[in-house]
Amino acid sequence: MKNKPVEEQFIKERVQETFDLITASEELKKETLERMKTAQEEGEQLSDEKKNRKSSLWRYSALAAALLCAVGIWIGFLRPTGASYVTPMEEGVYYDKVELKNGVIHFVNNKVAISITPNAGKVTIGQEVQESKSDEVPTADVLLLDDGGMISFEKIDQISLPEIAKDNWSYIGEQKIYVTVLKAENMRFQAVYEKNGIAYEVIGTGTTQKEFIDFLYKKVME
Amino acid sequence: MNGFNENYCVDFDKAIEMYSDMIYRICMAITGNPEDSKDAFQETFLRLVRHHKEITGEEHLKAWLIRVASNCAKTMVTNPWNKRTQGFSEKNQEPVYHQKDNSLFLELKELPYKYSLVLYLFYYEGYSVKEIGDILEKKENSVKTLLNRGRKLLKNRLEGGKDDEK
Repeated sequence: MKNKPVEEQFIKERVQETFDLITASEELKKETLERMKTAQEEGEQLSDEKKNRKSSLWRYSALAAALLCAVGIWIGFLRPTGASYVTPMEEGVYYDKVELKNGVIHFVNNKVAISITPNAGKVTIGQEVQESKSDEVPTADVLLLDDGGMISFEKIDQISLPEIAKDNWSYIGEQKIYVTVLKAENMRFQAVYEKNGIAYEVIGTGTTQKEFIDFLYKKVME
Repeated sequence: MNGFNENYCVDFDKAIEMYSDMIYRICMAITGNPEDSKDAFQETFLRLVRHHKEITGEEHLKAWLIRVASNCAKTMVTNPWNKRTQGFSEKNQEPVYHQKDNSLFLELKELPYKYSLVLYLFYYEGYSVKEIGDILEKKENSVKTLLNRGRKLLKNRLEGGKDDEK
């Protein structure tokens, strides 16, 4: 045990002497330093490329966002207003659901576009027609179109209301209305509704769906 | 292992100047040959380029270099390619470290690297057992054991005895 510190000291000195003589050559240091600097430059280049890629990505994202905004603005504000007919009316289909937004009629899922209060206040047609009458109600009107088409509007007896209308009301605003189309030679549209207890029929012959709905819309909202 | 500095920036020239001998010695202690040591040495400093931003101070840098150098050198030793082949320059080659009496190094070289590294750090760099444990991420007791065994093996070899570890 007495020899242990001596041994320890001996080993320490020998280890120190031994490793003192081991040194990295100047050539190795120089070569390593050069490689380090090259690697650093390459690393910086890679980092710059990454940054450039990132900034390109930002540019593209900003461009895409601007485009989306432009489309949104066009849809929201600049798009021409008026009736919009996404889905053509089909013969034998009774359009019972329509959406109306900012004066634009939207046809959804084969069903034209109205309103706001669907199925509001069911009424018995016959009773209402009898109960309320007005002297100033419009009775008839005809619109002749430039291309030879015609849309007629007239007051009718409630008996003329098609039976099917009872279960197939559409709405323009809060006005219940029955609309259908007959795809005859001169495409014929028919709408029947009652307002203030009076029943009306609108028939479009040789018109487009847009012309017919525009006319109908104006008449209903009068 | 304090010396944390948020604004610390590694100066590569200075790092090479200050630590190259230490790193080379660690590599030599582990690999026992100059060729592998040079490779491990360069790999260590190249890793420093990649990770220099993580270094927070001078002491951290030194400890980091020791740990990475020992890992790189160990990789050289345990690399299956190195186990099966011998480079041209190593055949019949005298060690390039210039020393009058290299007998201790030859003995150290014959020890398993886990002992030679700990012996080097303890006796040459003057680290305590705890510090060695921190640097090499080993438990203090493990370092003590390595140190005792290494010391014993080295003593045996210097006395002309044989060790049964290698």
